Amino acid sequence: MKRRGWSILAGVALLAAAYGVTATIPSSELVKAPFGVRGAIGDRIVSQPMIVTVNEVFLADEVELDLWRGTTNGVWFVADATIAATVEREGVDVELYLDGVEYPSSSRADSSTVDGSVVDPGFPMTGPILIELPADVVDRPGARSAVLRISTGSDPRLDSVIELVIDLTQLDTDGSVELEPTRPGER
Amino acid sequence: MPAETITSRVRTWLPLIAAAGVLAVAGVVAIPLGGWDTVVPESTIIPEHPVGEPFVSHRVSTSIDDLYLTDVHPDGYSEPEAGETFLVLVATMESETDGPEIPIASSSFYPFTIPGVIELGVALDGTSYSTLLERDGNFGPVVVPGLADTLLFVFVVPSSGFADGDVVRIGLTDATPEEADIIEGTRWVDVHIAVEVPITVRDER
Repeated sequence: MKRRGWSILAGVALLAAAYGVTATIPSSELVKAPFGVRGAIGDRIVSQPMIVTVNEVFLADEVELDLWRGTTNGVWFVADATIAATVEREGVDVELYLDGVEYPSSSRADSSTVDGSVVDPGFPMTGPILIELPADVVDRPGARSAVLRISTGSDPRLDSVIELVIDLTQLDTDGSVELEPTRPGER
Repeated sequence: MPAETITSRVRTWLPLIAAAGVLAVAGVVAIPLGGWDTVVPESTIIPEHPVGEPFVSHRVSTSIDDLYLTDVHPDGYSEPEAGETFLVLVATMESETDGPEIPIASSSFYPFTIPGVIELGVALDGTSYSTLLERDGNFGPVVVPGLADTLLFVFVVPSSGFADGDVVRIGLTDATPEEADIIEGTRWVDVHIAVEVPITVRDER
């Protein structure tokens, strides 16, 4: 009788364990997630394909870059970054994530921004990154821990990407800002 | 004629007599209900949606703001070929997903339809349309969550295809998102026109 009790208990425990294993299988998205190399503003952050230093970040109502005047219905997230490749020529792709919501860098300023351009090993390029965000972004979930991700622009799955966690609520918001276009060298 | 024979005959014709009786009663009952004309089932009627009001689908929210004909492309330099003109749809859009959305991406899920111009399942010729941000004329804008922007969709149409005062029923689409099996991301199923926006064409030519 005692033996039967242990058998039932063992069976229930195995069923519970099986449920636990099933319930905790990571999603395909998580299994294939990129490997984030994290750093802070001013750090020289090295991932497998690129070396990045984000020199400064701020918010702006309007930006001017060369002859282009960037207006927005929201607010601009502006970063100045120095980026070089490590091994071979790479494209630069940038997004900002707020609580899982993706905001891509803007291509509206054409080739004047460092994102969307290509970088080579040993030849760092410095320039602005522009991302349009909702006007109420600082009140949105995730605003205190937004993640700026810089990658090669190809499929980021299982790739090495650079990430900076940024508290948007602590950033200064400027009115109209004139930006320096992308140029060779470090800042 | 013997009574038994009459009863027997009536029995023989009883099913037909009963059917005729049912039809007669149904005919009489149908008169006050509008007769037996074919009716469109309520489930297939596409509701109307007002101009200028956002319709929120699972992918984007879209407000149809204006529809006009012009020979002057909003980009300032493209010109229509002889016999053609530009039909410009002005719409305010915003992404309703967790990321950016390209307004006109797959032919299987256009955000809107215009009869004879852009229809579900019919691929658009890349040279027959363009999408611009109204604010600065930037081509190929994407829409993001929480940031509504007004876009211009410019279609090349025959000069005589539309006229001032025509009422066009713009279809706004919706679909159900599912996690894709083969590719990463979202697969949209059950794509359909959810509402129609009747709008009057203006002629700016």
